Amino acid sequence: MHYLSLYLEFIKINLYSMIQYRVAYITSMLAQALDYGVSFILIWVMIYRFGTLNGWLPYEVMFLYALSLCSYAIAGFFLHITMSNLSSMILNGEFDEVLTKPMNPLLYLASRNFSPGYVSHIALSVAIMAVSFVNLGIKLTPYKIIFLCICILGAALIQGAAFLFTSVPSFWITQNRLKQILFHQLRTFIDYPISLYNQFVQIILTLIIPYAFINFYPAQYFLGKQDFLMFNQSFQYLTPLIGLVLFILAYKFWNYGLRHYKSTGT
Amino acid sequence: MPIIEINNVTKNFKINKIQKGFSGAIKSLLSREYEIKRAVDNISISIEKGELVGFIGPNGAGKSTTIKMLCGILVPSSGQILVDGRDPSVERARNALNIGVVFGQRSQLYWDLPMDETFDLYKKMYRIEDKRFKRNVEFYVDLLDMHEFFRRPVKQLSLGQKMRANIAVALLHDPEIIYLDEPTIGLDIVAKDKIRHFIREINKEKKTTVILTTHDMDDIENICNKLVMIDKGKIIYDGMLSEFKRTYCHDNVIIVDFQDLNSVIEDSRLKVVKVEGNRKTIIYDKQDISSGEAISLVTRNNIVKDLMLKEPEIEDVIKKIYEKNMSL
Amino acid sequence: MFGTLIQLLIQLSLWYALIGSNSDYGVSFRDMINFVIINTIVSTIIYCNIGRVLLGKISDGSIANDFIKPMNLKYYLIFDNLGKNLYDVIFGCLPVIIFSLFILDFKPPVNFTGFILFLISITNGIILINMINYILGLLGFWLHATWYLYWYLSALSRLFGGTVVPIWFYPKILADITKFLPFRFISFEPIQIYLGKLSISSSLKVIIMQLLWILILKVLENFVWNRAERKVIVFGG
Repeated sequence: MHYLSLYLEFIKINLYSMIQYRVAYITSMLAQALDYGVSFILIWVMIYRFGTLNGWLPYEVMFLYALSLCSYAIAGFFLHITMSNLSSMILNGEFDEVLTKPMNPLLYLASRNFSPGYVSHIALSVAIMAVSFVNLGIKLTPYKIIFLCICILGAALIQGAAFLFTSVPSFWITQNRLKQILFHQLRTFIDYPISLYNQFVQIILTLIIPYAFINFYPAQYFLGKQDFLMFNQSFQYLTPLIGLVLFILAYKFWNYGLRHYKSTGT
Repeated sequence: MPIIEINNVTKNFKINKIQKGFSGAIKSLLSREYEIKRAVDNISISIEKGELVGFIGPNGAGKSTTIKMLCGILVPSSGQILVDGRDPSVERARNALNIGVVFGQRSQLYWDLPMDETFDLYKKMYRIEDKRFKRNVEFYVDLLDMHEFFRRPVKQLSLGQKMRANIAVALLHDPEIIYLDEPTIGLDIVAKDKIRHFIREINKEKKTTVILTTHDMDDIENICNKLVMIDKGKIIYDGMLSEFKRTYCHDNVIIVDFQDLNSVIEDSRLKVVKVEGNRKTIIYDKQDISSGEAISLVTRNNIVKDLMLKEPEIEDVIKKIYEKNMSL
Repeated sequence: MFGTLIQLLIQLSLWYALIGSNSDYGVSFRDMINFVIINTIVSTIIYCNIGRVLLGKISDGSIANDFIKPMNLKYYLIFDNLGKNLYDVIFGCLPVIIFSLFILDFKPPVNFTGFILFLISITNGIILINMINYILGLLGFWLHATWYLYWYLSALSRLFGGTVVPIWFYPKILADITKFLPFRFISFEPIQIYLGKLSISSSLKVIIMQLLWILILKVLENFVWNRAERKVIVFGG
């Protein structure tokens, strides 16, 4: 419980900082939301012309993209700044200061670097999801809404795990860009339904680097689709579980990197 | 029982050997060759509660490695470290509750907000009770003279003001031990004075143990009562500062402005090292001849217009010791 | 390096799913493959970061150092950017080029005149995008604005540029709007010329439109520059 009130304190102080620059924050959030909005419009424009994309209607693909964006933003709240700065923090000694605090280092970093700006991404993606449901004539029961939130959180855990896996190597090597690019580029595959790609890619995105669980499989459940490719129907429910497992693995990896840092320094 | 015990601690680092030339680069791709750098070599230090320790050494000597091990950031390769009875690398968070750390020019404060916002955050982080928190904040703001800029955003503060605020933050939770790394670097003389005075006061009031890492010898002279010198991973001095000065700092200096150009000094114990017209710089060893006798010798047969007596500079002594160590 | 290859693969799968072997849409799958390949390379060549760099310099105050000779700054930024692009084309696009030539069986479908027209139009396109970005930087100066301006530009150029989704597939209203904006003339039109989708006279019309836009942008640039000059307040730290 101590951690909860401490965490709220961190959020409070970050919000205060944001209020100092509220004009800049708001204009920047609006602009970013607009840019992402254009992405959604382009998806719609593209698919509308052809009717469907492998059996996926325009609003279904927009829903897919919204799920991906929303979960990315939630993970980004806590991990984006931390993960992109980890390398430079280690190089200039700032990371050592983190280790002198009476807190779990990852928790400290996530709290200190909380980025409230991502709220615009979440607002936009939730709006798109709502619009998609309306347009597709899908009615959501309270249970479904709760499960949707759980799936989004599960997807956020997968995104967070990806953040961690790609930045922990900074503890060993300084130039980490290749892996980062690879992981982030790989994520762009899920912007569209993975049924587009050949089976090899589908297997990688499902069983090896399970990005497809971020949006493709849970979308089946909420959109009432049956596009399971070669996999089992149960996959549509698995996102929260996969998210939890992956994040725990990523956290263990983080601790492993931390142990290595403590025995070898830089 | 000493509050800090470092027993036979060694820290080795594996450094990748970078081979020369193109073929070397290919070779290093295939098989990594390592070189073992011994940053800290079987050192033992013991520090009692309330001591003000100056920890000095040339760059690369093993200072920061030692401090990092004390904070729990690095794990020793061998040996044992106990800080207030705990192993800092095993009980990192518990140890962290007990220490305060100030790193030179780096700031812990939130940039856009006044320092008291960061204070509130640290109150929660270090679980400081309300009463103690209020008392400490008042005490520090007073002692560090921060009333005027207490509510101003940190980004508007001068370097000296930021430094004072950073020290206050580090001490809010009444740590038993504080580690200060170059706390007065880049500050003007007034600010330096304030901070040195503050550290001495804290130590007097709360018996805080202070470990000061610095290249500024004035800091050491003004704050510390104990001196630990490290070079090439080994401890070359560990004892009281006064003892150090007594043992090593022999050479006193008198700078004399004589009336006549041809003044004569007839004692082998007095060495003239510099002549600038009528001004002569004379060195003598305090163990051979007392200051009083030296002065009377100088003034006995010559008319002296002005005379200046200088105590030995620690800095020069230390420089000599480093140089001697390098040639070993 | 493999990033561009991945992008290519995604685009190919996408358009195959959309068009497949259908020719009903006036554009064949073969056409789209060509479009995607050329687009990947062209977008690397014309990629322009000077807007962001300029905005960055303004927001951290380092513009003060450069301000002594602002005209030189502009060309320095442009050529520095182009140099990076050349590097990226050679190393970043290499897998794409190899893949396209050998696996996708890419054959440039255009003749010599068309190629010359393409070169002219792509040069104009590079000029256009650099001018737009430079104006963006100047706007930042004038309005004391920073990063968010870039997002606006990105949104506009992606929506009206026709390279994410080719303008052939745009609904009529949207396609009409793009005709009044410079964005489609940066890379979409040059790519059309390269793919042989335009007759020689249409290609010449494109080039004329590009020159017209360069003129308009020049006027705009001077206007913003004058305003910005009056408001020289440099941000500190």
